[in-house]
Amino acid sequence: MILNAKNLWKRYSRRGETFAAVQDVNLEALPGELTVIFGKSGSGKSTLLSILAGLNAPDEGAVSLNGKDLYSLNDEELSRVRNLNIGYVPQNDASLPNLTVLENVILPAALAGLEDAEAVAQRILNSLDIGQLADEYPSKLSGGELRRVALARALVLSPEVVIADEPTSNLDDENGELVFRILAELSRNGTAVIVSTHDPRGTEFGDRLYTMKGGILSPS
Amino acid sequence: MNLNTTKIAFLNSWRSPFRSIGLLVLIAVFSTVILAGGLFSLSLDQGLSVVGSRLGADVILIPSGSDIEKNGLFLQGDTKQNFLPQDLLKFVQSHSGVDQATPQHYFTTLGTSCCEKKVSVIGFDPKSDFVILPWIRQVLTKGVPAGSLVVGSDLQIGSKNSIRFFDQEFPVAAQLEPVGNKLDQAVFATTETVAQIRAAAEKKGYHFVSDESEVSAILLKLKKGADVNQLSQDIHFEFDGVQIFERKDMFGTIEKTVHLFQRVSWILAGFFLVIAIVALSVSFSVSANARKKEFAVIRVVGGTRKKLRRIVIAEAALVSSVGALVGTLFGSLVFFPFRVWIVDVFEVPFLLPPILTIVGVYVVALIVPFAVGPLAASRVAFRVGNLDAYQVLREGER
Ligand SMILES: Nc1ncnc2c1ncn2[C@@H]1O[C@H](COP(=O)(O)OP(=O)(O)O)[C@@H](O)[C@H]1O
Ligand SMILES: [Mg+2]
Repeated sequence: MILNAKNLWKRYSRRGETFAAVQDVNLEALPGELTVIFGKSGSGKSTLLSILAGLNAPDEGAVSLNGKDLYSLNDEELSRVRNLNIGYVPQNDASLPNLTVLENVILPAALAGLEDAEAVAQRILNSLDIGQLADEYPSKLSGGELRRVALARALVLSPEVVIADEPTSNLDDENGELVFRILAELSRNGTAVIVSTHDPRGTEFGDRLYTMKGGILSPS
Repeated sequence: MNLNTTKIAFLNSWRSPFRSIGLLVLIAVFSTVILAGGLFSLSLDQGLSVVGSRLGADVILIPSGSDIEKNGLFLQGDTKQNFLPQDLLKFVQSHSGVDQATPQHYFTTLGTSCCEKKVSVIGFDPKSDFVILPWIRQVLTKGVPAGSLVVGSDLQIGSKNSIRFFDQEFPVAAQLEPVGNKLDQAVFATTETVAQIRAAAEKKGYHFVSDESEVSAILLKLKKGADVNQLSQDIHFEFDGVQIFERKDMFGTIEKTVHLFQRVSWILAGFFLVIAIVALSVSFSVSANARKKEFAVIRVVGGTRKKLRRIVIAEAALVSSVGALVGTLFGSLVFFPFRVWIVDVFEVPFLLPPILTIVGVYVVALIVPFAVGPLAASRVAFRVGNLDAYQVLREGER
């Protein structure tokens, strides 16, 4: 067992009404497994993944990584976990516009104080078929290319857990397939991978499939 | 590659030049104002105190209606004038409130008539003098031999070490330290030497309505506790056409001008400090808001709250340190070439303060603007550190 979520609740309020975006979710992500979460837009996938990624504290329940309760760590410790142990691809792309693609990808390594991450970063960019864009600035890239830069950034420090929120949105068929292949290969090599998607290919590549509906997660 | 906080801050500033240059200019202007304003202020102070201490007299008597009246000879140095009544000197020398009294005789050589340039000559009586000799002695131990001159710091004496009046060479015995006003362009001579200059002039066919025994001004040192009003009454009772100036009167207007200028400098510096802090806070805040997603990304990949704050502060420090450097450089370029011009135009005593004071002004002009950037950014830095990365990245979804 590596990443474990227990009885997670997250409530939001809209126009004075409180509702649960995540309702009593239990989930285990094991090394070597690709977990796929399907669900319509608004079903709570992103909220759940952000909680698992250590970015969004749940109202109830706990997330533990190798037995450590993420949300009882202080900022320094939790940041370190996000830096080294978890690779998170947000649903919306964002990058540092004043850094090149390569610099953006090695950012986690830079924060970890590691130098010479360029070679690894370049290799990952190549494998995602955007190696030739390494020295470009993000503003020059298409949506699909930015999607893959975000994935490369999440992978650069070879984290034990990769959490990707709709990683193939914005991608054409060919590149969508490529991204799923890479995620599947990662999981075969021992990474715990969690992906949310609308993409039917999820069924083909996933080891464990879930569906989310109204904040409730159930096996499918 | 080592992408540390400083490097990220540097790249952010370097690759967004417009944002950075705007902030940099603001800091630079602030720094220029502090440097130039500070140096101007202190130079005026210095000029005033040197002139004051060299004047040495408590009271000056001058004829009514002379030019000296307006600005005071010792500040203005221009000498078109009448003369004092003949018996006045004896009268004040024997007055009970007067400790010392010494006469002076001024004349100005007209433009090209004698020399390359219009020169003011100040004749003094070495027997009774207590004003000029003490000051001269600072630079000259062997005294002023008859027929030789003491000249102000601005006069060109050439390699012959002499000045030519009416085709006759007069040796220069000493050159004075600068005072910061037109006295720096004056020539000081004993009564005897003045007579020689006049003789030379008359040989060339010039005639004077007055002679060197005429008195242009009498400088008084009063006894302790002497009553100036009483003295003034006594003089006016006996003589007509005498103006009585106390030292504080002579410096009154000039002091007012100087202090006004100083106050304006301080207000200006304070004004720019406020403007700089407000404008910087606003622009840091606007720019941080526009860059929320960047900061959220750093947070996602493991940046601590502290790290985000550091990046904000580092960017501010970078821009303000360069701004402070540019500003002091520019301030130096404004101040040093123009200070000569200031003396001429404003006719105020103006002397550079001691070197350590100048260094101090530089330090302040560098440090204060440098500190303003990070100070103005501190609130923004705090806010950025507290941002909710997930919510920020959600914004604008779909
Ligand atoms: N900060 C928030 N405030 C209010 N409602 C929110 C907030 N974040 C998410 N929600 C709501 O929670 C629900 C789940 O959102 P999300 O997790 O983004 O779903 P999905 O990723 O499956 O589209 C949606 O109805 C969304 O509008
Ligand atoms: Mg979503």
